[in-house]
Parts: sequence; structure tokens; C-alpha cells
Amino acid sequence: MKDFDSILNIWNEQADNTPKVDYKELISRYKKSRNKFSAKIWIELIWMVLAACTIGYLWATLSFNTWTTHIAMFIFELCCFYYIYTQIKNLKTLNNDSLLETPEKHIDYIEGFRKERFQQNTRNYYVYTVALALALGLYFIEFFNHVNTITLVLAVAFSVTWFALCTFFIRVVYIRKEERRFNELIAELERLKKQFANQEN
Amino acid sequence: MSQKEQIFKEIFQANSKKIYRLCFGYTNDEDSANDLMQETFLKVWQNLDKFRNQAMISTWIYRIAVNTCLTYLKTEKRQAKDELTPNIIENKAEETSEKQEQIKTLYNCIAQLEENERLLITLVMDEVPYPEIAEISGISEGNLRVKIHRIKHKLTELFNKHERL
Repeated sequence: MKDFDSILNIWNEQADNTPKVDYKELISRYKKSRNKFSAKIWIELIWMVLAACTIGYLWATLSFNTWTTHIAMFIFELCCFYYIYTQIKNLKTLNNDSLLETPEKHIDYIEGFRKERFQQNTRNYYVYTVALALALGLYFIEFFNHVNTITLVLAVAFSVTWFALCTFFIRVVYIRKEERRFNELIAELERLKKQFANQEN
Repeated sequence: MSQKEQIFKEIFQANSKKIYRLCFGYTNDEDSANDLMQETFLKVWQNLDKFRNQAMISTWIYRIAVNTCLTYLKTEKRQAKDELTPNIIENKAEETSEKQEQIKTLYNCIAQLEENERLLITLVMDEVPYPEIAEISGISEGNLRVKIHRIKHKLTELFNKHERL
């Protein structure tokens, strides 16, 4: 039978249990990963800003015949700005220093972040795709005036199929999967948070 | 070498071993412990300017390590617990000295504790003072003493049980 002091002696004898990482490796890894990460975010942002500018330019310079196209352009612009806003918000959230807070607060923060991401990937994404589909539909009203019947039927059929597939199949499967992962994660975080709650248990 | 790198080198050399032990105690796996330790020190490097005026830099490093461990991948954590059945311990037994075997058993026992218990007991065994542990964990000192008393008892029981196997 050993008591805690004997266990403590065993703990203190572990001389060879050392990390296999050098501080220089860490610095170079940080520099590489930081550049890669910011480059990815910047590329996505630049593409979306370019898209918003192009749509804005076309909207301002081309003369459209129907009012529906103007609404379509407006919705396209809104979608672009929503995407840019979300990316910047995510970037800011990721750079938050909650790791320096107490475990309870850090877990709280991670929980909030996960909830927000879940909402972004499910409800908000659905609204985003519906808005894009609506804008596309409104734009088609003008577009159809300039094309023949076959092209018109093909374009409508393709758009309706794509939208139906996204809404009734991909989205349903995706949300189910996300929901399961989300619930498991939140339960796990709640369990961990309770362990650090400031109460005797 | 820049001044920042020099400071980081000193901090790394003074704390890396303890942080590694904390991560190893949490995961009971060498690779995961190395990954967690790296993540911790990457965050330290990133926040080095904020630390410069802190008297107890080790408290901040421990706190980052604890938080990094807690939000580590769930699957990895389960794996750590699964490794504890006597059969697996038997199969994995290598020709190591008695001392190394005892250290291995000790880590196996730590891995059987709850997540917060693993972290708290590792800090205790590394002789981090109670007020500092309270600061790191955000648990009041009074509650902490009660918790640690229980964890010590639990760990001792687990260790003796494993030794009898």
C-alpha cells in the first residue's frame, strides 16, 4: 500500500519524460501557419470584395429594362456584404484571447462561438441561399427576354433542380449531421464547465 | 536572435517540461501531449508582449495549457480513457525498469480521473502553490483544497488498485 507522498516520489523521478519539441521549431511553425491562415482569409475576402464591386459596376453602368433586375442586383450585393461581414466577424472571434481567461469563462466562450457557428451554418446559410435563388430568379425575368425558349426552359429547369436538391436533400442531411455534432459538443462543454464551477461538489 | 526570441527561449526552457507533463497527464499519450504543448507555446509566443509585465508568467502559461487541454478533441480524450483496461496495460508492457513501470502506472491512473481532476493533481504534484492553482483554475482556494484532498485520495486508491493487478 502506498500513500500520496510515495506517489509524489514516483512523479518526481520521471526525469526522461520530456517534450520532443524545440523552441525554434515552434517559432518557425507559428510564422508559417500565421501566414498561411491570413493568406486564406485575405484571398476569400478579396474575391468577395471583387465580386461585390463587379456587381456594383454592372448595376451602375448597364441599363436594365425591368425593375426586378434592380432588386436582384440589390440582393446580390447584400449577399456579398453578408459574406464579407461573416468572414471578418469569424476572424475577429478566432483571434480572441479567451485562452487567457479562467477555464469556466473559456468554455463559456467556446460554447458561444460554437452556437454562433451552428446558426451560421444552418439557419443563416439557408437564408443566404434562398436570397441568392430569389435574386437569380428575379434576374432571369430580364434575361429570358433575350433568349430563345429552349435556353429559357433549360435555365429554369436547372435552377429549380439545383435549388430543390440543396433544400430538400443536401441541407437536410447536413443539418442533421451538424445538429448531432453540435449537441454532442455542447453537452461535453457543459460537463467540463460544471467541473470548474465554483461550488463544492 | 531577436529580443523576443530570447525571452521566448527562456520561458520555453523554464516551463516546457512542466507543461508537457500536464498535457501528458491529461491525454496519457505522448504525441497528443506534444501537440498540446506546442499549441500552448504557440499561444504564448503570440501573446508574449502582454506577458512581459506579468509577475507570475507561469500562471498564464498554465492557464493557457489548461484551457487548451480542455478544448482538445473529444475523440482523443476518449482514447486516453480507453487505454486503461488491465488487458491493454498488460499487452503494452515493455521491458522497462520498475521505476518506469510505476511512472507509467501513475499516468494511467491519472487518466482515469475526471478532466479537471487530472489537471489539478498534475499541478499539485508539480508543486504549484495552492493560490496559483486557484488563480489558474478560477476555483476559490477553499473549494480547491477540498477538491484536491478528494483527488489525492482517489488517485492513491487507483494507484494501489493498479499495483495489486
